[in-house]
Amino acid sequence: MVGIRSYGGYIPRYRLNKMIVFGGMGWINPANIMNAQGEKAVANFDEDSVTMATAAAIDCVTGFGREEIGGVYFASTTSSYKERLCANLVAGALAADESIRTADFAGGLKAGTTALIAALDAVGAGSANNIVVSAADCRLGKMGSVQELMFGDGAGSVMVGDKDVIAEFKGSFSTGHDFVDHFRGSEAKYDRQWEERWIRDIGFGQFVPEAINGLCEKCGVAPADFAKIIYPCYYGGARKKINKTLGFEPDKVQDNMQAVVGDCGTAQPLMMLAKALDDAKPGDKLMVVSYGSGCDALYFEVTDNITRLAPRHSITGSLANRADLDNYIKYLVWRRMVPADTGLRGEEQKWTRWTLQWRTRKSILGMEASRCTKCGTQQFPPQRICVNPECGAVDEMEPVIVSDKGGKVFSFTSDMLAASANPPAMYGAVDINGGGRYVFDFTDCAIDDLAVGKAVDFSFRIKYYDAMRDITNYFWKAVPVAEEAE
Amino acid sequence: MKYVHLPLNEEMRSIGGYYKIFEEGVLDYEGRKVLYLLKGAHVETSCCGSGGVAYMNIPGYLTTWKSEKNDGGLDVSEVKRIRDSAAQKKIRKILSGKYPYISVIDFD
Amino acid sequence: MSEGIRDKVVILGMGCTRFGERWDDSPDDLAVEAFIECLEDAKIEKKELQASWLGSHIDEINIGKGGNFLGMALKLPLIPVTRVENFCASGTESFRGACYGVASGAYDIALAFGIEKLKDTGYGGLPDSPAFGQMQAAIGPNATAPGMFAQLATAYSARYDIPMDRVKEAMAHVSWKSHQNGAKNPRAHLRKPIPIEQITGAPMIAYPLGLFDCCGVSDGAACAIVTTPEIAKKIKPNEDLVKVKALQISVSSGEEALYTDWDGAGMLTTRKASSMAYEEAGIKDPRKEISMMEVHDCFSITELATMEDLHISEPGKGPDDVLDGFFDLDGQIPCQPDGGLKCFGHPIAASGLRMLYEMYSQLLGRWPEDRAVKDPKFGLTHNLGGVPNQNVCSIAILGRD
Repeated sequence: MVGIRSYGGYIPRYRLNKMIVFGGMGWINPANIMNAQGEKAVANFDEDSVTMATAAAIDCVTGFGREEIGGVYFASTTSSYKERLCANLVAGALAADESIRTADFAGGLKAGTTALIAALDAVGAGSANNIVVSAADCRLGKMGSVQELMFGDGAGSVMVGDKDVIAEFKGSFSTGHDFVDHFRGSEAKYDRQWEERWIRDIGFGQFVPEAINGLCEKCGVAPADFAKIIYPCYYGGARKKINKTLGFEPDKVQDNMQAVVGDCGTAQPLMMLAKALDDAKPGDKLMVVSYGSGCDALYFEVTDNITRLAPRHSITGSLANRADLDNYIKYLVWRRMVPADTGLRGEEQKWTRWTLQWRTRKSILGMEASRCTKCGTQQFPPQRICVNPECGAVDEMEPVIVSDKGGKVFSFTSDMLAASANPPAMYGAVDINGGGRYVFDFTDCAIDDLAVGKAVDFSFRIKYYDAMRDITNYFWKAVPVAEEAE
Repeated sequence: MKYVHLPLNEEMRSIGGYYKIFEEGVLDYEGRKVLYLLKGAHVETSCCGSGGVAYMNIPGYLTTWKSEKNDGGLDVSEVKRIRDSAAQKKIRKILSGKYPYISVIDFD
Repeated sequence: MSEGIRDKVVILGMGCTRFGERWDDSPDDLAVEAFIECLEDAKIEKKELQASWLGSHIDEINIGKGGNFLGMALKLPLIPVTRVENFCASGTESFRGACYGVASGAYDIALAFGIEKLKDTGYGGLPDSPAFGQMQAAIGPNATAPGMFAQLATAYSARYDIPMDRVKEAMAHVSWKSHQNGAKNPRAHLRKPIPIEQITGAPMIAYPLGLFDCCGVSDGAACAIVTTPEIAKKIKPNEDLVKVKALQISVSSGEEALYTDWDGAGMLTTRKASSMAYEEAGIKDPRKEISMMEVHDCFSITELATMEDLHISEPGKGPDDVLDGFFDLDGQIPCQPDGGLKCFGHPIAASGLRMLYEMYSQLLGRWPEDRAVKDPKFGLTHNLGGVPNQNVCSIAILGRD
């Protein structure tokens, strides 16, 4: 039986109230008040598609050994590189073996499900197993645009395998249509879009039913058989029309989270699938449809194994973990949409040493530490000479991944001088659970969230962006564990 | 605790930079008077970097108002530090509303 | 059997420029200014110098690499110039080189120089550089010096269970005391006494360090000419001589940065280097025997913790001593009698030699009464570079026989 073995999801913590955006730009496009209800999820300045896909993938593999991962597929239309395989970055952060398949899927918003189908086909053919598919998007809309209000940032992930499957893959149907409702040229920063009516009526209105009907015919099922039908479409009116045309009962259509997250592009179908799985019961039939340059439609049936799956944050947990971003300009600066003055100091060379990045990739991407086999001291970064002053053994180390161990704050500060896109810069020494201490940046927190002894998790983030050379590099930061709500 | 009222809008220079007190205000809160100061600092030649801070600090509840003068001829009031975290939260919220561009509000 | 440096080297002369924003002066101008004073004080001719050690830290601007700068700016007669660098301890490091050169018997007279021309950078602060290596540049925290030293303060408060209010009160007194001293010093960058309420009222830069807890970027140079006691007695038969009693350096072992037993409340290197320095100098009770100190007050908390790390204040009692005035100019052990980094700023490699200049001048009774330490016997300098969890600490003790 081939299908979904595990799943995960990630929504960035910051939520920007759409009325604040409208407050800034409504003067140029007053009709946008129609789209200004609710809030959108906004990636922090140190997040992008790669970091979010990683967060979702890590969530996905909760309860599984990293050595089981047999492939990593990354899907996005907003990757941080045109050429540098980002699936390798996600795989590195997962501390997966390097002798596995890695691939990036891009080019259209259905790339997430395309990656999923490719993974299912590979596992089905027996040529790979336990492939982690992770899709993420961080799409931009120009200031004052409809897109700005409709898009959100997020990621969804699925692990495909043939053992203990929680949702069996029953079949898929795909279309490829060069229907250019929107596009982004190879040098462009923003999408360009055609008339909304055409997109709603001819695009969504035609292709989504086409895919759903195609799937049902191919697999000998009917829409009414499904517990949840999942498809992305942020035009409320078009959604209603599709639902009516296909005779969907309202509670059978998966909520697209438009008012709390926004449309996350490539990730959207997988995020909605993750939410559906959060709530699914054995026997539920799920249909997952994507839209963008054609459609994929997939049919899954949930099995008993879902009751035995280890709990994870997923979309339900991510929705609850929120903080207000009450400043629209901050969002614009974070997404590099407006020029902010970083001073002469900001122009200083930020060299990337690729030999170092390669040589230490396991520590940088995978947060691999070393543990002294003589005295048991865990230390990060890996050392050849044991840091324990009572030991000092040379070359008696074994590697140990610490990215998922978390730690405790040993010391911290809130620094108004350190240049930061989300000041104040907070950082401090963290005692890693199991041993070792290193100074990390703290993120996704306020100064009040930090205290000596506070528990932290590690999160894969953008470490720096070199604007002159267009290089994004990554490392781990520490995030205080959210307290139970008071 | 004694609070010395420093002059407003005057540069207080250190070797690394300077600061100014822009505003000295009193907030009525639950029957008591909270003294707050709006300050800005510019760090322009410190080894540690350059930058600054726009912030507010709260010496505490006023128990006397300019009740004496110090050796330098400056007015001195008595303040009681605000230690209760619930009160701190509420006061912070009120002042954030009045001064939305100030991101740091510290209690002495 | 090694004997240490005690009583093997005499400081024959010293020079120190005015520190500050020397916009109109090049590194050459600074070097010549310090050198002329030093040579005159030493009562020798330039051609008698046999070797030189040059300390400078910043490569990105400043005087360039290698030792050439000194030979060319001072027109030294083709003698060796060894450039040394050890973060902010570079000044003491150059002094060490010159002293060991003379003590070994390899040279009769040597020059130690520390210079930093930093104000050509173009923006506030030091030029950006991967000072801790490429790995830390790739994955280290987005940190500044005040942020790293601020953690010393919160760790100290937690370790000794001293309320942060009291720690801040002590820190403010440390700054106040230094500004009082620096106001009288013609060579200082900032020469203004600062009222205590201005210090306590300053905004926080990195909690709990405020604006007046941080030092500044300055240009400056200082130097020393050293020789053997025998040669010194020939050149200055009727004058008091200042002898080097101890020179010690300690560098972090990785324990503070990567292991979990360090309490974060002080510098292990300072504790080690000072113990070794006292042993080298034959000092058994530093609290009673040290007459005065110049320490690395890059931040007031550093000075506060250093009082304990130097084994002068009892652990946890630093604030008590500070607030009692123990380290004020008229206290038991005046600390920063020249105003320290707070008033001079920090031209990195010059600072260590500026500290020695102050101890040297005080030991010889050269200053007017309003800033003189009464009848000093031993002066200690403490010159620290890096950040609390990875640093180098150098200690020098000078004495007058």
